[in-house]
Amino acid sequence: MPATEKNIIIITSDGERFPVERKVAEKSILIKNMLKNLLPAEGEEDDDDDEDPDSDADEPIEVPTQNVRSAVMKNILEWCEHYKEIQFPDDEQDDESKKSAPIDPWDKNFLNVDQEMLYEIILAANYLNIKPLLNASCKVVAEMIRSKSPEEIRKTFNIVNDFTPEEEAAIKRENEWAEDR
Amino acid sequence: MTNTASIYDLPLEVWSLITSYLEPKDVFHLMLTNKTVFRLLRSNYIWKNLVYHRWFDNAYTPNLPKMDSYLEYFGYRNTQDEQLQKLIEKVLSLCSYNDQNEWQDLIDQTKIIWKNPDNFIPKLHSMSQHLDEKCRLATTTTGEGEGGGFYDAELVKNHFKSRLSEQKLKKLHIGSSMLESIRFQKLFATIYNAILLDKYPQNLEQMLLSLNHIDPHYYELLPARQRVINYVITEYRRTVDIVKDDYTSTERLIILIRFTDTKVLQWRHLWVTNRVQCHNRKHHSTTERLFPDRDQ
Repeated sequence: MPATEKNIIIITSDGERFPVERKVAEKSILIKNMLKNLLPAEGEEDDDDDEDPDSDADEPIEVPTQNVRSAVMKNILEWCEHYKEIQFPDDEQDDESKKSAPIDPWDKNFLNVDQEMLYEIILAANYLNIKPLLNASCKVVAEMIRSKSPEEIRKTFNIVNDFTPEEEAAIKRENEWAEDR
Repeated sequence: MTNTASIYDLPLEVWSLITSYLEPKDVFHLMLTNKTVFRLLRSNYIWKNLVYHRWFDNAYTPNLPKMDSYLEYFGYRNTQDEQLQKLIEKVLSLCSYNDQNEWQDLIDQTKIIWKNPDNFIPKLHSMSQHLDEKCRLATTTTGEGEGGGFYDAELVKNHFKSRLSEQKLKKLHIGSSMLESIRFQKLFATIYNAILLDKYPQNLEQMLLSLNHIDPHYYELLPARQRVINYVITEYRRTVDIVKDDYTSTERLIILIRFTDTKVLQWRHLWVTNRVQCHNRKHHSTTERLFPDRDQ
């Protein structure tokens, strides 16, 4: 069946090869645009609903991604696989309701990883241009910051305070609006 | 290339997205954690968005002013908002008009606000925001009423409850009275300019804002403005069926502006000839007024 044909091979920075379906790979707008240039015939299909790529399954296409290592790519592709049937709107508007919308439970669970992996997912989603994943993962970071004191934020992110007490006081004085009252 | 990432590896564009989900206060707390973070996040790239979102999103004043430091500007505007709040509380707590000092103080503070009323419109507006607005937001986020058509009775009730504490109601009253008087002042200025000086709004943006002042649905129109613009865009997309990837965003924008301009010229004609009647036509919704030929 051509529908499940894994004719795109993503190569990570550490040289691992991940064969995937085209529509999985195209969750990354970077890769999607790359493929559009390589295979204009298939891209021509108005990218409405993914018509099965019924081209005669020519050579698989290799897509190198220098900035993403395999452990991260594995996660990214899991996400893309999960959402492969979902069409995300092209240009997402900064809708107030969308901003305040809670993180999708599946995403939340998916992003329940250690901080380093979370940052790497963010960086990869940013590089590969996967907006919905980038938004979800940034929301996760935002939730780790929300309604916390500077000290609590330092603990959460392992940030070492290098302000002198005087400097900290000066900054606070200049920005009185942010003080609790 | 390192194999693991730390929070310091996140670029500014990512931080800009993260902070868009946060309150300015949270962002400030984050900045206070460490010098590196502070230097990164005090950037205008971050604070311009926060300023815009807080005071310019609905274009009470159409243009975001150019600033050296938007972090400072944020503090400045925030202080102004607090002044306003204090003034309103003062009005509430003023028991007698006999205390000469207190009265004078009140007048002085009011003068500050009248010097630059535009600065206070966003705050006044968010204080006296129309009930519908918040309910609509609340219902759309529950996912039920797609497009905001349905009201959840329970939500509306709770919303009323939360608003109707007596103190709050009084503040709301003072806030809307101030807003109303600002609106009238601007309205009179517009009419004066148009009738006596033959001066009409210069551009599209000013035109829309002047129309706002005439509209009795002013309070709904201001926050609805963004939606009206979106409406224009969708309308344009439907009418002009050419929005495909072969247009760059700039080209789209130019087409959009042309499209809107022709529409607005029609309205302007309508407005100038029916200046007075327009004001009397009460029960049209704002969108109908702006898009008079929509449903006919």
